[in-house]
Amino acid sequence: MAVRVLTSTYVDKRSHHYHPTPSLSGAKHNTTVSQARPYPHGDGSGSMAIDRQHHHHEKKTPSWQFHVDAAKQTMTRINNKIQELDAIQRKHLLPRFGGEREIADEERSIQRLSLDISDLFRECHKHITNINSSINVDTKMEPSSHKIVKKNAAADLAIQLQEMSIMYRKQQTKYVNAIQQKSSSSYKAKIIPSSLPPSSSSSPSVSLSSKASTTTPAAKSAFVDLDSIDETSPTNTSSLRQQQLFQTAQIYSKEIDRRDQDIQLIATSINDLAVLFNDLALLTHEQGAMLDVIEDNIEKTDQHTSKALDELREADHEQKKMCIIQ
Amino acid sequence: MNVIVAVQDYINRMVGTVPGIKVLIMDNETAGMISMVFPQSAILQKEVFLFEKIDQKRESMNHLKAIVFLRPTPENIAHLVAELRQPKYGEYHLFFSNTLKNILLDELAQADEHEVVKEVQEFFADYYAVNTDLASLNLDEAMTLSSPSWHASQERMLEGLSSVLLSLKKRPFVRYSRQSEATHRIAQELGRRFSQENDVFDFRKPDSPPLLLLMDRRDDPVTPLLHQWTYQAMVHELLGIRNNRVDMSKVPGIRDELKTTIMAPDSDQFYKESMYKNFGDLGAAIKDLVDEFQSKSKSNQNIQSIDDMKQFVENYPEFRKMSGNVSKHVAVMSELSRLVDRYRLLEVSELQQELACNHDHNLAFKNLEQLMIRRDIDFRDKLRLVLLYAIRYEDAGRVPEAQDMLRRCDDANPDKIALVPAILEYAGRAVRTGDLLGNKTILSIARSTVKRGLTGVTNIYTQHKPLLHEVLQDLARNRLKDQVYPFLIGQPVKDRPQDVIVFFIGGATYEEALTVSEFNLANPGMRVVLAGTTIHNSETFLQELLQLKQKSALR
Repeated sequence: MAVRVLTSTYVDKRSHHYHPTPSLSGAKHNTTVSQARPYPHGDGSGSMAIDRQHHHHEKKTPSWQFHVDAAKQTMTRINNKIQELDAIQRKHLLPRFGGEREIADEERSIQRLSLDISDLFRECHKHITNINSSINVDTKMEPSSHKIVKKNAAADLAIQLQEMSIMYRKQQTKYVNAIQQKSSSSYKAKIIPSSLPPSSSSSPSVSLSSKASTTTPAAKSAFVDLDSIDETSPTNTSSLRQQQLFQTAQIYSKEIDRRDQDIQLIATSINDLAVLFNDLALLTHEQGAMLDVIEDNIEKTDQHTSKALDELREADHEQKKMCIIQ
Repeated sequence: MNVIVAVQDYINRMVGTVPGIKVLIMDNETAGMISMVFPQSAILQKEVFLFEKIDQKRESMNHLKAIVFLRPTPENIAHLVAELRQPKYGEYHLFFSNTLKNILLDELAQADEHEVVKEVQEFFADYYAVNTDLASLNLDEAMTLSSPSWHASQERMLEGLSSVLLSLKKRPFVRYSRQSEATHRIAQELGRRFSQENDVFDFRKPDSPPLLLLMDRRDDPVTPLLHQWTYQAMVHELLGIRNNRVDMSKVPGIRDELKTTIMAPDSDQFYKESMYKNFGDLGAAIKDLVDEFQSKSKSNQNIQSIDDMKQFVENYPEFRKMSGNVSKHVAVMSELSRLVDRYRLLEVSELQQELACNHDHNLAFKNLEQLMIRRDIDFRDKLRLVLLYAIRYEDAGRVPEAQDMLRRCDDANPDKIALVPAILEYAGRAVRTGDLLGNKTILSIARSTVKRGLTGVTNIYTQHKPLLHEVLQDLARNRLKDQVYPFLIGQPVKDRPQDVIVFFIGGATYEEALTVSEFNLANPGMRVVLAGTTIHNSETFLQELLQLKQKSALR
């Protein structure tokens, strides 16, 4: 598309008009302008007023802007962490043989990253609520356009954050499903393995936040353990049978531990839910109070209007009487 | 060649290059222009958190940067000058939608005591982009040279037209309509403008140079009078679309949130796909849409586990949007159906198409008589039928009879009856360029009868093709006659043009937009963009004609 840039012509004209030597720094400009023409403003002397104006121009960031910037920074950090997490999760999904320690390390870093990400989400959310609360604080001293700016800024950040969290959740669900598929595909007709899929499938469905990833190591390690069982079952000596029993007992205890973890997870998730519902109730309650006030006002209006009608009728009556008398 | 994308690009550049929190200052017109191509949510994403008009009182906010997008009119400059003396914002970035006169630039420079203006540019987005291939200037009262406000309109027309060309980066050859003095004048002025503004019109010469074709509404007065049966055109004809907004407040039983609906192809996928569907296909498409929506809402009601809840929460925003969209289209569609029934539009349109396409005087007159005595047809429709009759059979000598039939109607409006001779003066055979009715030469009469006989008609309600259709076909075969549409500068080009911009002085119509869109699909080697001083429906067209008659003296 075609444009025409007039900036240089403009700046030339402007500097020609004000002072032959165009000055770039604020302070110098102050003095030159105040000498060139007196500032036709009502309050204060010429140079003082210009100083003030420039001072205003220097003072740039009000407090809520800090929150906007902080929220944006947090969102970039969240993005980076999500990408990191994605890379590790992909690696984790690749089929591996042995290397228990590596796998455990990966699981730990996955868990750590997920916790970090949920913390960052909460921090960002806090910043956005701060912006919102600063709107309601000073209603009289602040002009409406300021409020609009804040509202729009908060709305925009909230939308971005929401999109990010949806994307993150989708990513996590995909990862969890992939893990499930891997573990379920390895299960043959065995009694032991049949108990495992329910745990790994129910726990991710409960997690509303990032904590889903902590359950998947359970499925993954189970897969590894079962492999070892498969290899040992054909050789059917009694010592091996005993070893097998011992191993299954180990698996059981590990399973119990994991189930315990999962239940903890469910508990925390339900706590989150409770907090959410509390917030919702609070909001509704506030709105209820406002609605009460509105209803009150409307009733009063109604009463006033009917009184006004009566008064008018009487006034009319009186006027007619006056006319008749006259 | 996409006018919506062109304007979007300009706006993206405006708000994208300046970092930090911004406020966007516009005037009434630029606000309309921006709102058509950029939904507010998209601008919010670019950190523009406040939208104001230049002529309204505003508070001072020094920590914001101002992006100012105005038409370079003296009034706007006056407001801007006053503001620059007492700046309300920290920085100002000025963008003008067209060429800014030097004296006005001087005034601005003088007023900028505090040096808050950081840049001044001209971004030529000075028109309303309706569809990807349709632009309008929203300019009323611009019909002919004898229009009372022609001079003011002429300037605006030139500015708008040159901004369309600049935003598409075209410096075309110009062809105008021989019989139309208005197009000739505009062509000359445009040529002058090309040389004056040589610096911006300096584009790389493509292999096949683009073409600007100036047409006059009077060459085809039939198209705006007809009832339309494709979605976009029909909504405009029956409800009226202005800046992509439809006013539904008079519809009985309408919900509050639908009182002003927005029908924009850019943001509404369903609308984009069904804009050009005729009424029947449209009904089927809406039914599909509603079915899809119902199935989605049923699945939402089946929430059993927390997994389902999670899915529901994730999909809810999309679901909300879809429900809003569905209710909007259903409401519009039901209103259109209601109006079609109420005014018996199917029958009226049948006769309209007959009058517009076929040439059989006796039959036409008989049908006209039959419809005129019916009381369930609105006076406005009867008036249009008589006007169509007059245009086609102006030489048959029975036009005064038809006028009498109008006078005898119950709800006759004498002012409007005067439109019958008015339209013949404005657009009678003597003043038209080109061959609207296909009956100027024996060859064309033969051609039209043969075509009709051979191909038959698939749908009598949409059989009419505007004059533009013929013109585009001729252009595609490179056989557009110079005697009819002469070049402004001699006869420079023999090749078929690839990019064509058609500009209608006096207003374009949505039916012509449909023609252009179909042509673009059928001829991938060519791209056509349609522009007009405004976009008419039958009411606005007749209104302008009435004003023309009343205010000026037509010879």
